[in-house]
Amino acid sequence: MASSEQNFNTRNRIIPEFLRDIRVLQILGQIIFLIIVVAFLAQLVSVAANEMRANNLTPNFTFLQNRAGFEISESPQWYTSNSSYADALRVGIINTLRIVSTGLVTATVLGILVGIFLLSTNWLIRTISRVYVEILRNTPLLVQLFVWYYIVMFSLPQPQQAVTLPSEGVLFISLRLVLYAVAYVFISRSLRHLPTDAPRRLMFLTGFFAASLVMETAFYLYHNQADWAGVYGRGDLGAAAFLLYAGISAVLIGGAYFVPAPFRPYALGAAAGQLIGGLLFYMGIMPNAALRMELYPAVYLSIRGIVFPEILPTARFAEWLAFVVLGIVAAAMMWVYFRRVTETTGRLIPRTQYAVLLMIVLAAVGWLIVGAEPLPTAVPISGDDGIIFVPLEEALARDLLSPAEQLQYTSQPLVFLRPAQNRLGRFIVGTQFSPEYMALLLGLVIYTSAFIAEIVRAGIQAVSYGQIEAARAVGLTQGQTLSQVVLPQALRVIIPPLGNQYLNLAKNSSLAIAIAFADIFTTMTTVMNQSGQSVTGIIIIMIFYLIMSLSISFVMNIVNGRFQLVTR
Amino acid sequence: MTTIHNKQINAVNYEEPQTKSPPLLSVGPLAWIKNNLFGSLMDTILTVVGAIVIVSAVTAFFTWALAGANWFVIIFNMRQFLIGRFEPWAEWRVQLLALLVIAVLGWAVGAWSRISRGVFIFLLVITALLFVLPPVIRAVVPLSPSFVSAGETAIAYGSVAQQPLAQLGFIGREGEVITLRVAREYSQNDRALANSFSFVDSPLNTLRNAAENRLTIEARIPEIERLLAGDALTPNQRALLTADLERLEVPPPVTETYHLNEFPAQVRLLDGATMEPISEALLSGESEPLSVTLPRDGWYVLEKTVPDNPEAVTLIAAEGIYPMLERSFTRSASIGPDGETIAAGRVTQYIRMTDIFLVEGGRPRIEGTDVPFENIVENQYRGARPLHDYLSLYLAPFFQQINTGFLWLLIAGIIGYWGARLTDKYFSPVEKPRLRSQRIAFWLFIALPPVAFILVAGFGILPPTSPPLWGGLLLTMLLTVVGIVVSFPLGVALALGRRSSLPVVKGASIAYIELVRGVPLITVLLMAMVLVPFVAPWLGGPDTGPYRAMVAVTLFSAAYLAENVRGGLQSLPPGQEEAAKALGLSAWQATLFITLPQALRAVIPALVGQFISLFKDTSLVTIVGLMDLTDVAQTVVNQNEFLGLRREAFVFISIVYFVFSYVMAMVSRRIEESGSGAARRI
Repeated sequence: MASSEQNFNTRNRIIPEFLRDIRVLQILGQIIFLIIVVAFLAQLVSVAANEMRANNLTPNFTFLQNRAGFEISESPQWYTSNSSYADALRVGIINTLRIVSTGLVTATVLGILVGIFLLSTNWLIRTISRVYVEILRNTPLLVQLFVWYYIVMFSLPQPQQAVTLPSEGVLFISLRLVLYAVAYVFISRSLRHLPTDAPRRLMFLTGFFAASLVMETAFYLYHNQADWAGVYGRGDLGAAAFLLYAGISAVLIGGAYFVPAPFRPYALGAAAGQLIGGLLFYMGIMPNAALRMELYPAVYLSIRGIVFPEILPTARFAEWLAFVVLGIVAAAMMWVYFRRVTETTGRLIPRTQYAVLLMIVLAAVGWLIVGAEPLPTAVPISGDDGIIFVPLEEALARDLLSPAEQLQYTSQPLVFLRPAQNRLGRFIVGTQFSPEYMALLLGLVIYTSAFIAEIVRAGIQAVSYGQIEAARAVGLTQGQTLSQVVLPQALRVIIPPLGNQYLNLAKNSSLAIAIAFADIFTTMTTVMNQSGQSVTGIIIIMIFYLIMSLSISFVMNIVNGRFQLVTR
Repeated sequence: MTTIHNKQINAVNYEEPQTKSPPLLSVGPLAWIKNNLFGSLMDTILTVVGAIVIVSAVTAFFTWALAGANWFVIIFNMRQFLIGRFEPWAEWRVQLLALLVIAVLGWAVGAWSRISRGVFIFLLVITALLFVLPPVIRAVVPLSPSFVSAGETAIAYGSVAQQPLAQLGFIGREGEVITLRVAREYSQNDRALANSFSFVDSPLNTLRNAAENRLTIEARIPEIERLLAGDALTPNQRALLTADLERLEVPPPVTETYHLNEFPAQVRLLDGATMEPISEALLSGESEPLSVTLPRDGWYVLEKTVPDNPEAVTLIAAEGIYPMLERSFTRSASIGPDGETIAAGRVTQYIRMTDIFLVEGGRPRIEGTDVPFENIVENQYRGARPLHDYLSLYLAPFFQQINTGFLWLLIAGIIGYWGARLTDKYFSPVEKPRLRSQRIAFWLFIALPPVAFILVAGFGILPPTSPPLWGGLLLTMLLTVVGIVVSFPLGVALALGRRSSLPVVKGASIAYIELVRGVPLITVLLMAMVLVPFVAPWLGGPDTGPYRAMVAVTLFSAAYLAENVRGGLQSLPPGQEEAAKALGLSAWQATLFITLPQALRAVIPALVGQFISLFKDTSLVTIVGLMDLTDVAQTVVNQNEFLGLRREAFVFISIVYFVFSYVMAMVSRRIEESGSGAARRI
């Protein structure tokens, strides 16, 4: 006892008093830690700098002004191989932002869709989406990118045989489809008062589907089989073949009474419906007319990427834009007004639908008004003997106008130009996206959508089922339950991890280098290889990604703050 | 009164009331189908669309996998996919490592869980199938014969003109039977020729293409005429089709042009070493097949001509002659398995595709030139492959390739499993029946990574191996394991640092974590590849790529791990730490023994999730030039012999990645569901 006390005292005497104060110790510890960290970093920097100086590589940023000397396949017009490294960097940044912004939106939409499918009451859809999610989550994104690029994109056809949408051809819109639609609306309205599983209702609906199926089959055969040419509209009720058909139908209808009760309405409906359909066809009552429509390709998909129609503003675009802006402003004002009405009086007004409708109407009216302005009848053409005035139609027919002038003498505010190829298959008109861009976008979007789907599923499942039952109990519709009760609560759980996925997508876009898409990482790697400025290059890349990550976090934090529960 | 009384008595029914069976659609499988597939109109549409999509996707995949894909690229390169170019003399170390890992995993299963008898029997059945199926397949469904052509005329189609080879070299084993006959099944008409399948030589393939082309044109002309007669064409299409119709012309039947199988073929079989004839025959459609038993392993030559007509081509079905692959490489001197010295020098190997039978050099020469052989670059399997050829061509060799390894791994797993159970039975205290095995499992897991590293790298204890040669699944696993193990203490330290009350430590931790989490892994990898040599010259040599990647993966993973651990620390009720302090534990003791264990247990699922993503992310080292699983796939399909087989390679590595990630995810889910991962409630 005594000796231990003495020990204690001796130790106390050796360590001065102020060093036994925890506050002093903490500060001292931190200073030592700081010194170690700083010394370590300084050591790193000095060793690296020495090493690089020995290799004639002093890190600096002035090299960015040097001539780049390499082409970038995916670049705006202003970039050439004579541009500077800084320009190459700019192109890389533009491309990264292009892919990330498109990717974020698309991945969110797809992810939410798959997330809802994961919760579907339909077993097949649930299973398919589960398999989709599991396969995508458990294989590396890099492998998926390789698959999209080297397997999917490379197996697309050459531009001359491009897959087109719609494919060129003639579409016949049958008059029958319209009649079916009318008939369906009529039948379902007249059965409205019956419960959904009432036998009569089931019978009529089955009959309707059976009749239309039989007629469509018969018309298909009539158009494609020579033997059926005489059947449509023959109307000879005494013919042996018809009597045989009627007899079989009678047996079927009679037989339907012996089918077990739950299936009886279906059997009866099907048997009677097919007879009615057959009669309508045989008697020629159902019309065989169709609207002929010629379809021309708008989207081309080939090994060179995807090409969309070009949308160009004409000289009248500004006038139309004024109408659109007016529509947006008016719609916004109306929306705010109706919201106030709803909040003060409790009257429910579908304000969003009205606002959208107003916008569309104003834009359409503007389009008509702008388009109705007459075009000049004659246009000035500068030829060898000064300016002459040529009638517009003639100038257009003889191809005297430059593309810019053509846009000036168009009555519509926007023109849609279908993609056009030259003889070598290169697209000279159209908005193009390279196969690298498509592969990267598809890879990123589909990979991220699997994770977003899981987040959405978890978020919706986190809303207690009592909430949904309560919403139903107070009489909200399915859509109102989803938009007013489930989503606001689910979003609270969804948004934080969703932000993480957005960050992942942005960072994963750097895998572009694997398939040589010219994003910031790929271009900077080329710049680094050419100039030898690897340290500076890496610093630039890191700063860019840090800024992008921080911006996304910042936006997501604001969004998150808006959706969190407001408490005291 | 009495009547009423009687009536009342009569009304009482002492028998069980008759029960009606429930309505057909309210219980049972039909009700399940109605509720889960056809609940409403929308549901029905979704079901139909979903069914169409899934059926077409699955059909397309299996049609391709069974009838189209060339899985030889996997079978032949299996070693590359598994261990890259790891030194052959040290291969046993990787094998031992695999056994150890499986044994430890088996031990862990025995210590924390149980294997049901069903799973065990399933594994045994799989093993038995792996051993039994290959010989059964070989015996029941022999491989289709390969087809070679004889004749002197060049077969022209398009810009291609192919002349049948007069001599064809091939390799064979002692005792193998070569059977040659005239392939009458393909000479009846062009349709039979176009539908031919199996390995065919280039002239026959040209014949097939010509026949297919002729049939296509024959079918195309009436199709165009039908389209032109209707009105479902745009003017543009009409012009194109009219031009097509004028251009198209049906060539004469291919079978007639080349007098296919009309004249007998003279065949002669020579020994490749001595050029002595072994057997010869004149084969015609009616003659008996020629069967020859090969006397020894090595090269043979088949001579084939059509003596009667220089214009004619005769097809010969040859059982036992299959395409080969030629590989040349420089071999350094080494010690063979039996202690003999293998000389250094340039070696050419010939490998038969169907069973990887290998012959070194000795290619026969006639009049100063090498005898040509069927090269797998040109002689791929043509036509729709029937299932039996898939079985004998790919499934049987694949099973044969993996069955021994699978058996050893299974044995190792069983030894580990029963080791744990027997340890518990004899050494664990009664009140904690699994204490000993779990303790030992813990130490085994601690010991495994260093042992693994010593086995793979040598590390001064075993002879060193060369890091640039590590590759395939081995490298992927190595990076993952090092990433996990080394980043763990670092991540925990960063998490504690971030929660520290000391501003400098906290700031430094936050700066590190956020900096690393804000940039992609590929930049960190690139930095490690470019900058580490400047900073740490001993890590800068050309041989150290994998080590630098490990540094990068570790630094990257630590930041994410720190955030997960921080989540666990935050989830603990503050009472835990306060109680620890109240008991007089120091801050370090409270952290090490009270908060950290609980926090880690709470975040096990998140940690496993991070390990899965680390496992997947190691594929990025491909971009900085390391030879991991993804890179092996890329490299293999860029070789001449395997060009165009990217799908097969990528499907294979995707399956490998999927299996490992999915198993990890499943284990994590089991831990989560069993509740042992959750923080203990008080």
